[in-house]
Amino acid sequence: MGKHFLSKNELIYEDLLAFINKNGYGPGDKLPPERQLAEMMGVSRTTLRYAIERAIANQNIVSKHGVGNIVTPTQLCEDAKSFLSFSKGWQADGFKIKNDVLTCKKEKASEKVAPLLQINVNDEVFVLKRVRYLDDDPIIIETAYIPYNLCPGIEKHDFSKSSLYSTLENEYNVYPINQAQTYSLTFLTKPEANLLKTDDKKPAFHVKGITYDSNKRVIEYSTSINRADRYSVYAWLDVEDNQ
Amino acid sequence: MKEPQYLKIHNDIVYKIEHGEYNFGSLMTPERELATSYNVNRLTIRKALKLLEEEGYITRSQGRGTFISEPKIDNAIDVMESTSNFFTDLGIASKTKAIHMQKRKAGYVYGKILNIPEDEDIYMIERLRLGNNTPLILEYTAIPYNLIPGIENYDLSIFSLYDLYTKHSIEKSKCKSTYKIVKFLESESELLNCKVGEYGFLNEEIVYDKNDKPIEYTRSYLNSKKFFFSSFMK
Repeated sequence: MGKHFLSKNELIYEDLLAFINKNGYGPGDKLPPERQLAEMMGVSRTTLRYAIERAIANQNIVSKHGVGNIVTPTQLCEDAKSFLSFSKGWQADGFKIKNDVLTCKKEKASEKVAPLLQINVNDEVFVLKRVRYLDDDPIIIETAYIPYNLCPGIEKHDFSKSSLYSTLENEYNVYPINQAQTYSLTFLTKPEANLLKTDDKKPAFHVKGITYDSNKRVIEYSTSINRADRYSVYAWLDVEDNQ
Repeated sequence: MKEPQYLKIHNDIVYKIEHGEYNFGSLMTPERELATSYNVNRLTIRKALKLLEEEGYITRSQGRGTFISEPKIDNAIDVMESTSNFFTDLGIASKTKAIHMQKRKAGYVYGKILNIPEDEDIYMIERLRLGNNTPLILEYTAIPYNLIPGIENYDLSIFSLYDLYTKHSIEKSKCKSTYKIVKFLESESELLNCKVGEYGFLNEEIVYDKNDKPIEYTRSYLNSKKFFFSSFMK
């Protein structure tokens, strides 16, 4: 007894969530110092400690050095069923978008990338690697590979400002319409952590996607590293979908 | 950004595993041999192997060596399916262990989620899902008690909630499912055979009936070394 979901500790965690919600603390708000919080909730500091630990583990709150406990800033929760370009999708949600372009060039397809794009090794591919920001926070490092014959000259665009998909649509008549994605867990390397302005060895989603156009032609392979503390995925599922 | 050497080696080994150049369950090439073939020092190889282990591609077994792990299970996050059906479809022998059940008051948090008054009864269920006898998913479920009165009389290791819904003519209509990466604490680590402080997936689901009334909330911890997710975005 004592360790499961219905243990006293977990009930205090539930009380903490209720406290946050009832008192109107929203994303980014600072909670009272732990001693004061324990008093307000009528529990001992030791008991509260577990609840805090659980809330941090479950990403309800973030502990910031020298600041205290903060309600987790708004997470970027991506719809796993609807295919929208990064810029279109997040701008629609009211986020400010920014990109740092790390690589924007044409190169020879490697033996790893070529089969994914259904082209031959050493065929030309356009490679675009960007750090993607939402509201000034770097969240995603994304690399896109596109068969170069679909988009000759595309490397001349400034992708810190332009959207890749809009450029494909407007200038090359290539229309991305759906994407098969996989998500797995990885950990940030030092250079990745530096780009994402966080600590290395932190967990991240490793997302890989194959993008198709309206002719079911593969037009893109993309791979990205998404900070786990700022990114999550959701889907609305209907029973009818399975029937 | 210059890719660290160990990451290149890691990516190469992942590629080889995924393309059948290593057999699942077979012994991993020794560090010394890898160092020679990649022409790097053993420290670099060790870093690559450490990441492979954290991601679940290889498994270290004390005293026996390092092995290539079984392929991860593909969990389609864009389809609604019961855990047991999902395992069965993949040819995985599925077993459920009901660990703990309790009738209690909804309270503020669950009252809000299930859209019922705080003092209404809910039934909470803790279940461990095993696939081929390996613990894979830990599920905590809360349902309004009134939905299936007398639910405490069913053995939830044998009956699935799905069975009980059917029996009580409850029709699920839709569900919102969210996935994030979280740190595992003691309770879930112990049951899922993970180390405390390891990271894994947390899936939260709210299931609704035909009248858009929430009828079930489930929080599941998934061992991230055993799963990856997939979706088809349209």
